[in-house]
Amino acid sequence: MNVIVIGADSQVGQFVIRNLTERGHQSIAVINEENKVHDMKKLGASKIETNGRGDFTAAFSECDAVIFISDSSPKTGAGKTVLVDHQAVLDAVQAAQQNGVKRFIMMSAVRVGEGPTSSEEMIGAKDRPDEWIKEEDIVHTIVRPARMTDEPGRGKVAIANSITEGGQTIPREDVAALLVAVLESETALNQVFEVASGDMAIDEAVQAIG
Amino acid sequence: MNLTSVLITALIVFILLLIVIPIGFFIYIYIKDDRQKQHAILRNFPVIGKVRYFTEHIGPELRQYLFEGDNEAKPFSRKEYQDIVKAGKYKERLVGFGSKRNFTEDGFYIRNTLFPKQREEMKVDNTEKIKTRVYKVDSDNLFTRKEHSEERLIDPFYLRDEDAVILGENTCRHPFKVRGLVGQSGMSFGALGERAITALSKGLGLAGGTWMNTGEGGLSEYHLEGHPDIIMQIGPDLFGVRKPSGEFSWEAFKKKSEIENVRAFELKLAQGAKTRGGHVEGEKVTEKIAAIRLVEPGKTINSPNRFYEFDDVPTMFDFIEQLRSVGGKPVGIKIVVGDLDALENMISYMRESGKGPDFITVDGGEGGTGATFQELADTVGLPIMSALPVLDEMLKKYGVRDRVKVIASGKLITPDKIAIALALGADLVNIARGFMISVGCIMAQVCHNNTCPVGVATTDEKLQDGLVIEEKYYRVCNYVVSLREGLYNLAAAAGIDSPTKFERKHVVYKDELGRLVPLEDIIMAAERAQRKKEA
Repeated sequence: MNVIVIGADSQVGQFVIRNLTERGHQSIAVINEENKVHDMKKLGASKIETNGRGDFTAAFSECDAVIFISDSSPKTGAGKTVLVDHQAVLDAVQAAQQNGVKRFIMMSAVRVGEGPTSSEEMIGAKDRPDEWIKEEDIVHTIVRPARMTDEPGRGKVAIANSITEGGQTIPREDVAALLVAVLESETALNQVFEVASGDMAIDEAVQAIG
Repeated sequence: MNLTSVLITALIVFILLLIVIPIGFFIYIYIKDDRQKQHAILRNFPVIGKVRYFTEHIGPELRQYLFEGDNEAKPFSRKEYQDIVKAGKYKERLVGFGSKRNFTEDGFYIRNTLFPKQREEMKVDNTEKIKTRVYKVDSDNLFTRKEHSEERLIDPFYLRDEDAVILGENTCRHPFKVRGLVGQSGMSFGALGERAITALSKGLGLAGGTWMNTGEGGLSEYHLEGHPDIIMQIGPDLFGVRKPSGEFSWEAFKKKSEIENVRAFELKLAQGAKTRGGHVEGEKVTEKIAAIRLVEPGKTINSPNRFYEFDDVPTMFDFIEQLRSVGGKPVGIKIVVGDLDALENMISYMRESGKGPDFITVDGGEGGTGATFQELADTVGLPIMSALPVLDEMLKKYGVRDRVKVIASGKLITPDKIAIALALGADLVNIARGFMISVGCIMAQVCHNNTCPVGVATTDEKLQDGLVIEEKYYRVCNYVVSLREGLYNLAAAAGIDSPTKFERKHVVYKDELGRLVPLEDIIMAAERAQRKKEA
């Protein structure tokens, strides 16, 4: 599959690109910082586009799916994160629709219902883009991970509509593996779910959705 | 007799014993001290004079833990020691409240730029992650500290391929490309026990982008355990590459050069603390050590002060050429800068002949060793921060700087010291004692006695029992990765995107009056001194 990964230079994004390469997919990496071209090439991205350097919507036409990783760009600065992120999601959805991309996978955040306690909080108002995507006419999967850690991936997760327990975590490596597993599965179409570390192998857990 | 009288008798006997025995013992010691002829203080003040010997004995420990300031102790202060331990154990280099450095003293400072580089602008390769373990403190109370270790994926802070340092790039069949600037300096199996060597090997192998120097004691199976890149050192005693008769064995050398992990060879002409041949007691030459070093077990070894294979620059260069053509791998020399004339003579011959080493490891006079003589350790050879710019300048003067890489060593145990060395002319940096501390060294300073209390610098099996390889090797990895990370922090502050770009202009020397001295002046000062000596 040809996949465009937006936010590919984020920590999760790098794992996603590596995973796509390992599983035989082609990837177009959209990054925020020119300097990261090196990393993307090394991880196996077949094409690299830099945000803010020309219009890359044309790249969508070559793609079968979009993986959108919400990550604040360091250039946005305090308070601006929410605005820029939201606009980026909308732009990406629109570009996908115009170019006939069939799948839109979005990494959101857990406890999206919580409002921001200050204007600088990155997690603030993350539910809004989720809602927009659901309203749009596009096949989507929205993944809301628990608090992400730098632990090595365990390969085992728990998926639920809503994770009620507090204090749950998940390694970034597992989130990335899940995003790629979702891409290859039929069961995750038009689903919104939360994920944390658990007992089920990632592929198995994805098959069990729905 | 009834029970009461039995008990009373027992009590009296007990009390008598309690008094009589100590008094008897006291009198015995008193007489013994009084009559001995060795110590004047005990003859004049029997028994009480022993306080001197007792406190003298436990003094180093008391000073280290209680009385000495955090910045005082030598060779490494408490603070320097903790910087290494914390980097290895917790992968943590943060300090609170402020620096403990004495800013009124003279010393080097790194010049920061007005507009530092952003993290994402750095030329670093973090695409592969390292799976390591770090400790987390759960609770820290007066008498207990609860902590646990957990797995962690960490960024390796490798250099990008275009910035990687290559030894022997244009001279040999198998150049050695290294993607990090910090490696482990020569430490022999024998000086360190097999467990320490194994832990180092595994830790460095896990970290990657680094190297392990075998020391002159030959290449052991323990060095190879963790598959790190290895620079095999060859000393004048030719351990591991000699015939039983003592001459150089090309056959043994060829065999060593065919091992894939052996990436380069280093001829050790001198080291900071030992500017002549070493000495190993016969009792330390076990069967195993003898087999690795290719010597006779049980026999005391007195190494020659220099190689018998060559005795001047041309013959040394011919030997290097032959090593390179037989082994196909880069060949370097390890030196201590002292005689600037001899150094200049060698470097000018490098230009003249087009031959020479692929790298020069320059050890500062402050460099360490397992065992040496006081007079050599304290006063022979220039300290690294003086030696480096002189060597760098000379190589540039004769136009051979691009043919040879410079590896620096001598107490360069933290990122700031490494960065200064890089700015002063080093391409790479070697660390020995920092790595010893990362595998558990507590600076007991008994490396020469085979009684190391933490099982690092000893081959004693019982003492080595204390060193758990599986626990320690993660610390080695964390320490070296922390150093690399710190170098990128400093590079960003200096406004450069890679620590390979440190130059003289990034460093300044401040004297005790607060005056700033450019490095050029320091280099010229060394030359001036040399000219004065000649006049």
